Amino acid sequence: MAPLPVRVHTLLAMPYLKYYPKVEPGKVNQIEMCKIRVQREWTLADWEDHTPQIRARSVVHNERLGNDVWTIQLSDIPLAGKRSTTSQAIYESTITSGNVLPYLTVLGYKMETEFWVQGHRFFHNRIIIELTRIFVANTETFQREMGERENKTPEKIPLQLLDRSGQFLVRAYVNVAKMTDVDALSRANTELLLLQAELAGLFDLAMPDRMCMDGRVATVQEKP
Amino acid sequence: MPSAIVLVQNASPSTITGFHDQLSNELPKILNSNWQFEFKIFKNNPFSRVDPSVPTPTTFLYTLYLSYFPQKIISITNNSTSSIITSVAVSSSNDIKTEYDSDGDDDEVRKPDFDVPASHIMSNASTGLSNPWDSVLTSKLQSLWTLRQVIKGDNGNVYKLHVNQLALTIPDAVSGEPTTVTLSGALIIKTANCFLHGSFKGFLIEVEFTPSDGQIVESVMRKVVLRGLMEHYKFPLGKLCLERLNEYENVEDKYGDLCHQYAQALQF
Repeated sequence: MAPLPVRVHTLLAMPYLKYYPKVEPGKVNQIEMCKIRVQREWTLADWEDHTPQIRARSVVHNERLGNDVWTIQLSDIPLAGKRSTTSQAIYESTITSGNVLPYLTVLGYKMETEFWVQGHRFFHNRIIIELTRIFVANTETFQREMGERENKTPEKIPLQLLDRSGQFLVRAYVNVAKMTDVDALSRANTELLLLQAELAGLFDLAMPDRMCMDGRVATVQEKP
Repeated sequence: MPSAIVLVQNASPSTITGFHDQLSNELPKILNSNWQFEFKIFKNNPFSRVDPSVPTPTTFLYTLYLSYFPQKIISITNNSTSSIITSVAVSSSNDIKTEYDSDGDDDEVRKPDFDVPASHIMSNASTGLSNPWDSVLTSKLQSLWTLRQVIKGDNGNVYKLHVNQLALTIPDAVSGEPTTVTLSGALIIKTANCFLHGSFKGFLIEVEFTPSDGQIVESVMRKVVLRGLMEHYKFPLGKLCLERLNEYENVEDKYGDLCHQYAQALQF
């Protein structure tokens, strides 16, 4: 399969309510709150490349972007235990009609931040190898432009690399349709380990810290 | 395309067969003899608060699945002014409408509308392995929403009536004086038996009228026209819901209106 570009515009949303579970002796409260990622295609029409200056539309200034097709994604903390690869449950649902922004509000979420991911995807058997860079809004340049333009918001806002050194993030993963499909999971595990050995020296693929991939929001403990 | 829901709560078997006979006299086209719906009511979790001492006002979130709108979930809340539709279907070139009904109606053909565009997955915005939205709500958003009721409708019929130059005397929207309007178009009537956790809760009729001249009837007129049509075809009496989700919105939100009407009708 030919390589594909990666172009994703992501909103990170947090619940604006806090969860205060009723603490009862003998009852374990398993309910957690999750951050959600809301993602859309960072379309070419939405992308302006005057390297090094890259610009994109932001939902902060374009409420109408909410009418695009967006995918809501939630993830569990990666599975615990001694493992050779990281495995994490991801839940997602795609909104194909309607504005996602007011729905997020009624759902109980508010936008925390927004970022743009650009890069490439390569396919090796079932493995997806992703080389990406993350862009965030360049507030300094934006403020300066706003001053020059007499506070008229430009259609596309200036972006900057999150990691100014310009390095790419390399991620190798396999998407498995069902968490319960043990065979597929172990096959993916074997394939990933093979790739890791093959690429040793080129890229040193290592497992990320499990806590860094935790999508949950800390629960508030009710004071007695 | 104005729609309405009638819920006949004290329906007896004779109400149901009687209405079927009544409609059969009009020689309808029976489109699909087995359609289903699933309506879920979620209530906000009272333990999720801004501050532990301030209770959060009760809100409801609804999800609606309709078998004639496959792989989609419509969702609104009781504070919404617009709806969202989530999809697990991916559109591909195979979905191009090739087969039409013999009379040129395409009600039975799956339209690629509201499917996930392939480019959305190609760009990596989605893995392409979507879950239905109601299952995400029940599995991952329990801290905010708890599932309270699941109302299922099945054993349904879908009738399509061709309304041809039907003269109806209806009260004028502004003055209330009786006026005569001539209507032409397609009237689609879907009936189903509703069950709440297994017990029968009523006979539900979903009506949708599409005028052939393509005119979108304004809000007030929608209601009188639909009422007039229901009276003409002798609908059984019941809880009538024909409010729109957002009465002031000019843009058609067909599924949002429908979900809102289900929410109004299915309150037990």
